[in-house]
Amino acid sequence: MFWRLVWRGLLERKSRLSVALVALGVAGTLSAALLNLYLDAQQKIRGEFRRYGANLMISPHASSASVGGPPQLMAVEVARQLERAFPPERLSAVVPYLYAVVARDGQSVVLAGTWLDQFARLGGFRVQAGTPPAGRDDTTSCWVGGSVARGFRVEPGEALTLRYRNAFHTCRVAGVLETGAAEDSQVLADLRVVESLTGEADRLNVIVARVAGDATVLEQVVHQLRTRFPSVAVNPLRQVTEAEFHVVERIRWALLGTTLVVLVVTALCVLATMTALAFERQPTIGTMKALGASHARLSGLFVAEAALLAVAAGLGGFLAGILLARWLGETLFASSVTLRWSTLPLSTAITLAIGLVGVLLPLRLVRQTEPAVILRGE
Amino acid sequence: MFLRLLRESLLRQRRRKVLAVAALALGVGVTTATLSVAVDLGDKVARELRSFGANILVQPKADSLPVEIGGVDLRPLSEGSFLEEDDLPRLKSIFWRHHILAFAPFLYHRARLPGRESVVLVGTWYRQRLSLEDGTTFVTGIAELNPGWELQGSWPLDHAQAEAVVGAALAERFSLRPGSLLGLDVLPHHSATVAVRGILRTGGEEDRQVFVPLAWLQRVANRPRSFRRLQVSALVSPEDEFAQRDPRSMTPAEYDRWYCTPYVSSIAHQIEEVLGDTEARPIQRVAQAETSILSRVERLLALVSVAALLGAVLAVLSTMTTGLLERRSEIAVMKALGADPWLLAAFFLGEALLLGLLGGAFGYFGGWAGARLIAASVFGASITPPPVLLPAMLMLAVVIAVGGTLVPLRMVERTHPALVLKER
Repeated sequence: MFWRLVWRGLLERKSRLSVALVALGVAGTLSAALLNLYLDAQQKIRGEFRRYGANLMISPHASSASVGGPPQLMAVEVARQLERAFPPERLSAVVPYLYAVVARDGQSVVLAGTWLDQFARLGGFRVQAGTPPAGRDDTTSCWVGGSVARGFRVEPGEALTLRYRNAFHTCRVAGVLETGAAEDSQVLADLRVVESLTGEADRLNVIVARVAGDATVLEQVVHQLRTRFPSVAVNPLRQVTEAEFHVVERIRWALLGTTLVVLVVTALCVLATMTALAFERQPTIGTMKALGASHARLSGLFVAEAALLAVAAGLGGFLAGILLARWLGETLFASSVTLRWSTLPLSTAITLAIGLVGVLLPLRLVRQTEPAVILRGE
Repeated sequence: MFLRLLRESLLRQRRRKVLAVAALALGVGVTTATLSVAVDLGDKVARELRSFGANILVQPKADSLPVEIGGVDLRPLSEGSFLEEDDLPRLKSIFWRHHILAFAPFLYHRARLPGRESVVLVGTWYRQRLSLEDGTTFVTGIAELNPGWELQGSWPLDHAQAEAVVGAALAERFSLRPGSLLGLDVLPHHSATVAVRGILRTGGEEDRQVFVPLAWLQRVANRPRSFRRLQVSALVSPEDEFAQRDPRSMTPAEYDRWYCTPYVSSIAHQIEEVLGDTEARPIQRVAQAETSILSRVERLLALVSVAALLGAVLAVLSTMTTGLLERRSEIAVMKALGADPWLLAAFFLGEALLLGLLGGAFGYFGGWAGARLIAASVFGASITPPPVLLPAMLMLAVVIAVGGTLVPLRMVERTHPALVLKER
């Protein structure tokens, strides 16, 4: 009998209830979409900060500040161990550098030897011409910075002969790279090229690295590295991680705030619709009361009705919300948003809560309805 | 008669009218607040990203190739070209001058520390007060350029006194603290004692350098009014495909559009125009990161505003619909008395229009207050919503109110009056 009443109640007033259903459905859709996006957007935006390049610099201890004398070097083994000991999810790029001042037709230029695949992974350059660096076995190619290309008038495909004391090395220019920083006036080649040219086997000037994750992860990695390699100086570039924290925090607030606002607004909408419905049904309530229905039973009727509506809208809204989040993820981040089924209970619970808030006023109305007054037609 | 009906209808049943106006005001208020906060938030994020330091590097065009390892230029001291310090105020006269947030000139020189160790002396501005052509002053220097830098002690004043900021790695090795004195042999032959005012820790090559006032270094290095390099921090828009194109290949209309958009490349171009014989290049690492973060944040905020707008529109629609459905019997009576459908529509839509304007106005100012409150409490900043928002919001409120009336009105009109009246 109870459920038949609920059912009839729902079916009889389709136009009104559809307004409530749509409102609840939108609440469900938006909360599911925004929740999924909220959980993912932070990570995605944080991921973009990797483009700032290195956030860690490893160098020999400070006594190498000397300019005139031979600079202090550290072992290549440090870079190799770094690469081996940390998974790429933790240390996304390890770029070692060995520098040599070489000459081309009597003009000096800095030759930087590195692991080209790691250099490419760290990014931060624009390929002006030719191909980007890749791989780690290419000892015949080299890349020149924008200023070098202009100064030496070299183009991709041409050969470049460099002299270091009495040794010579000839490489094919594979591309012109523009970074806007010191690399613009350098020639880039594989680490082994510089090693064999200078005879400095297994030595490095500096390693720059990118730690994936927030400030705490960076501090952890720095601490681990300092204990593991006491012979070198490990310095975090803190300003990147700090600004990252601020930006991500602001985005969090914006997303969370909007979700709340949307939920409050839809809750008010549901409240208004449900109240109007209850007013309209006062004669029915009066009749039922006259027939001996208790307050609890009548309230149960309203609550059950709202709950049914809310759960239906919540489930439908979740499906729509997931589709929306996926579409938004593709347009916003050009990558798919990870869909979390764990948000299903949460978004359904939110819709249910909104639905139940919506019956608060109607419940008061049920209590206040005097059967005699209503049935007399006042 | 029509106007009397309208007036009576607006004055009677106040509860219902107040509810409709309240719903409209709430919807418009929420939208106004979200839009203003979102627009402002994008700007705040852009400024936050500027704490990374410079995004444009300016060098003399005729310079020989720098031979630089780890921030140390190995060229002979006499080699290379220089820029003129007196040209610098012109930076604040370019088209996008308000987007130039800070800049600092750099002059490099070598010196020997106690123990014959070499070190790079960097002559720069800390927080220089610069008088501009329009009579205002602009405060700029490395302190403004890198607000994220960690400094122990304080930035010295920009005068010709020997007051220095020392990199942390050097400070540790020579146990320097703010207040210590450091003896230097400035090459080729000049001995000086500088007072250490601050210790700088960046994690980068600055940790091994000694910063001194530009004017002082120009004097001791005998390079009057000149410097080697300029770093500029400019507020930029995300680069799109259009910005990547070579300006020389653009049509005049495209060139104007490119020139009048604050892309990092167009600002760099404008800097080259005023400084002459220079090369201004975007620092790719910074520019690329900024572009990708900003464009995503902007799109995300646009989405957030649309979501709030959608929620608000829906809430108002449902209130208006419910309100009209409640008046079904009224409509039925009017129709039974022979009211023209056009008159009926004009009557209810006129009412909706007035309610919309009222609710929109309330909502706009309420939303403005809300946005200010949010901005002050969450972001600690004051904001002003864009002025175009007021007409837009009034329009929105009217459209929703009229739309929310139109649909149920047609529904009611289709029902025969007798059927509606029998329900009573």
